Amino acid sequence: MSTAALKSKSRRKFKREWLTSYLFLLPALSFFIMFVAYPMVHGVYISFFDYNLTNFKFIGFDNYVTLFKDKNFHQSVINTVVLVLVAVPIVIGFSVFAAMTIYKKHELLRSLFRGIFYLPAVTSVVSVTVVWNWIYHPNFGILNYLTGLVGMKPIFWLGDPNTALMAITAILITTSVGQPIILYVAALGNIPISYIEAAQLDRASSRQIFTKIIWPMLMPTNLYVIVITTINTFQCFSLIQLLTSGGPIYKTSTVMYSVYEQAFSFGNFGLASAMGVFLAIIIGIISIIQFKFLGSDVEY
Amino acid sequence: MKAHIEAKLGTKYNNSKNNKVKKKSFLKNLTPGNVISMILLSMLSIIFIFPFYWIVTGAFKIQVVATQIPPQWFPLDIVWDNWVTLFKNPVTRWTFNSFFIAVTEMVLICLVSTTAGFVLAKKQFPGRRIIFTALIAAMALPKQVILVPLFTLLAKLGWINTFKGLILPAVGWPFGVFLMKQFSQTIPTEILEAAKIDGCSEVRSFVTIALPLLKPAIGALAIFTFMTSWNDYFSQLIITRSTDMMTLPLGIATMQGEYRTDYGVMMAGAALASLPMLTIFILFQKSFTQGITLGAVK
Amino acid sequence: MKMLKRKSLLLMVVVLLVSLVSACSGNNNGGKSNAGNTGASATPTPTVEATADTAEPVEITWWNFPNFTALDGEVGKFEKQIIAAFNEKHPEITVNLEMLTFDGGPEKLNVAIATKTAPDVIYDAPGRIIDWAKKDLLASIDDMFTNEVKADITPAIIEQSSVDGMMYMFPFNTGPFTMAVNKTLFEEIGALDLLPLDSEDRTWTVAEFEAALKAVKEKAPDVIPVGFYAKSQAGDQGTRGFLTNLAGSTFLNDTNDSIALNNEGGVAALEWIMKASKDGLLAPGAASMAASDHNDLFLQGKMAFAINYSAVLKTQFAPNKASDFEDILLPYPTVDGSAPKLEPFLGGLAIFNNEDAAKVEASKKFIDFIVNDPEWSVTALKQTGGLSARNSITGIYEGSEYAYSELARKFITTPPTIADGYAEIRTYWFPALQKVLLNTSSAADALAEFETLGNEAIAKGKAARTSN
Repeated sequence: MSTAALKSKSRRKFKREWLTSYLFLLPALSFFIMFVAYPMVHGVYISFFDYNLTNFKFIGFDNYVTLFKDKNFHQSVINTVVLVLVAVPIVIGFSVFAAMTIYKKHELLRSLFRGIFYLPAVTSVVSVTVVWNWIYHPNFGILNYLTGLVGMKPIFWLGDPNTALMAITAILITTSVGQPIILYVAALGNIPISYIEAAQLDRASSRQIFTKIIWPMLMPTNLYVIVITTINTFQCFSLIQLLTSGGPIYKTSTVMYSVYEQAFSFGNFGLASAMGVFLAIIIGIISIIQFKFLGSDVEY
Repeated sequence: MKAHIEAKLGTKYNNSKNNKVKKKSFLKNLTPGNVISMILLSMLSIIFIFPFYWIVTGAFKIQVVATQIPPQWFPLDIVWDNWVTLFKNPVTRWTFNSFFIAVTEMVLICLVSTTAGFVLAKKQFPGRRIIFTALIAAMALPKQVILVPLFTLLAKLGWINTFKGLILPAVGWPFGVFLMKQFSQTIPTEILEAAKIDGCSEVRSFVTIALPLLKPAIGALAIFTFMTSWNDYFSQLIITRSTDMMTLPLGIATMQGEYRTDYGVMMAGAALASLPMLTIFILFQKSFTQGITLGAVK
Repeated sequence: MKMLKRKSLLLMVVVLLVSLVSACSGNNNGGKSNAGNTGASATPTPTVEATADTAEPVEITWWNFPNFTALDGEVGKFEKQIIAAFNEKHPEITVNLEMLTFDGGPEKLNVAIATKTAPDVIYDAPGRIIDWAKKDLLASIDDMFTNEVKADITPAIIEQSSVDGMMYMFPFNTGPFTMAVNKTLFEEIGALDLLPLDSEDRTWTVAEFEAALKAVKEKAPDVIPVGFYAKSQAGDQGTRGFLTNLAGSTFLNDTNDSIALNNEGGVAALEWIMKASKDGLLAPGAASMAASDHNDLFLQGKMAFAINYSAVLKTQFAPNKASDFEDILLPYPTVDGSAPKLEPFLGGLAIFNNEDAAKVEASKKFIDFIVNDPEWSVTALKQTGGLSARNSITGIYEGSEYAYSELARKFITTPPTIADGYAEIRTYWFPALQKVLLNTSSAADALAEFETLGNEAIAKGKAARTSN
């Protein structure tokens, strides 16, 4: 076949290729449009309505105004930010530490530890909360028993406004390090050993090796882990619903929990949708910032 | 041909080559710092194992023992009462529901995601970028945000408290498409081009060339989907209504009364709900790890 | 080559099928939906009012909280027996049962109402039912009450079952909420004389109550004297009952249109709580304790007094007691030892108005069977463990505590659950208690803030009603 003939043939095939591509996309896309995209648009739509058990009335931006005035919602936003600022760095730090420790070890040992740290993530959230509720329990909790052994006074972990959010954060951290550790172990394994050996020949300290060679190589993984962990932390909900119901005095309420509480406990679906839209916008902005800020020195 | 593909795919994600640490450096690894971090890590891992241990042992303690101080670190007399109480509920039905929903979701998601992910990664057509951006954007959003409108939609369709209502919305979630796109990008374009020049149809080259290469990816996605569905709680809570449509996590939650909580029975339920997941994870850790790793690499 | 063609064809077919399922499903209105859909139900139902004796098949949905003790520990088993018995008389009415749970159930109802998929029959407490009635979501069941029946029910209960004189709930099981004491513990520490057990109605003063608490603290230092909790709404009638009697006040004013507790007595009562907490008389960690945690402590013998108890709960809790101690009901103490004001727990059945006359009629027949059938109404009542809402039906149970429960009915007052905006008032109560327990605000400030928020909620509730 001559090249000219080939070209004309490919031009004719071009349109057909599009058609096949669309056909391949069709099933996934129809599900997506019906069960994700349409409800999202509809969610934005109802955020402009006073929509509760009995009403459905257009009220413009009133729901958003209510949000910005609502003290408890402010508290929820603050809590969410604190949760992200505390949990994400700890998750990253811990995961890198764990990965650095185990990535050179024997395959069996690596699998074992990876499995252990992934355990809370595979356990159903209902089961996780039942146990932690028990660990933290003010009267027959194991934690207070242990701290009591070393002479500390009992603390009401989930009931004290000063400790409740941190108690939740601790659980959240245990359920979120599994995936990052797996990623970091893989990323570390991909660093060519010759780099490190060359540096060792140059008498570089292990700290220098880490900061100059290993850390830069981990950058793409860092970006991914930070984005994923941030999104997950923002969506922290079941833990709070099952453990504290947002209390004490709204100290553990997050934006996600507020959405749930407004919609399902109080029946204010319009206001809840407005909160959801607000949350979506915030998550969007943060994700973009993270990509711009961290993605700049990452090569794709 | 096959070797060529493997050469393309292999080196990138194969840790084993790099990890053939020489004896010399193995001895070098036994620095004090390394030993300390290993000990520290082992101590920390107790925090991760303990809740699980407590679930399993708690399932065999009576309420009084379960909540006593000082705690009984190991159940001294193993009782089966909690399990008897648990199985007075339609637990087998709940387990079946959990399985049925998870398996159906798994099959459907793998089907639709593989084709969509493949063309998004490998084909040029108008609207490709827009579609992909929309999918990625939707992924970052919390599911609960769309729950109210989604529920209204399902109510209109009459799908509340049906398997359709429980399964199909999850198929719309774009994570699978994203994962399969990431995987498909590792398929060398040259092979597809070559196949085209040989006169292969689009569909045929997908079936004969892409699918075999995507097998591990489909496996990873299948496990992911199964796990997400199995551990779901929130959407199932809202969409199910009758006892016979409940899934395991919901069933466990029903054992929490307004005026008291039966810890032992809840632990038995929690153990029952966690064991299948744990088994799957242990058996398929490799695919799992691969799935997680590949999803992250651009 | 041919093989491949076939394979690719097959794949195309699968892809097409899947997309057809997803794309065309918008056109079918669901085969069998259990919800009482408006207009979209699969079976055509006559819009004309069905007369009582037509045997036109009707399908209704009944949602039930765990009001009945689970038979043989199996959730829903007893309900199915009732339905079977009902079907012997009315084979034409199919009743679909859905069991709700206390956590998640209320949310499920809210969503169902908002999306017009509410059930037909609901068995719940007046707190929610009256709120729905005010929002015009329920069908009136006024025609189910003869004057004779109405006269047989205490006015306080009638009030809790009606809106503007129109009945919306058929009250079924009731009983006063009280405190409970671990009598065995007091026998062991030789302080039985500190309990008000010699008078028949067991009334006592706050001073006497304090003396009993101090005796526990002194002679049984490992035991918490009295429980308290403020984690969530659950069981808030306990904290409400305890505090209003301590304050010698009511929760709301007589006409239920403003919060009445913010007075000298109310502040003093909250300050009593603060002090008791400091002195170690009150359960530590009460701010984060739920009603269920508090009951657990009592049942394990780790706490002398529980503040949210009743004959029904006593029956339900019997298998969960750690040791075989005797739990005795006591009224809340009052400052001067006068008659306490007790809130009743009340369960009743109501019908959602799903704009289908046939379903409403069938639902009435079903409710009538549960509450009035000579045989099954008694069986069902016993399964709840409660007393009858009808004054004439007594002596169903054995035992001293049921006898006391019957006697204590004379202390029952109208609870605040019937106030406009009550559902919202509830959401401010436990945070106010948390502030006091955690010392983040003074008793006076917490009460003042609660009053402001509560009154706003009442005003909002009233406005919503008039606009309907």
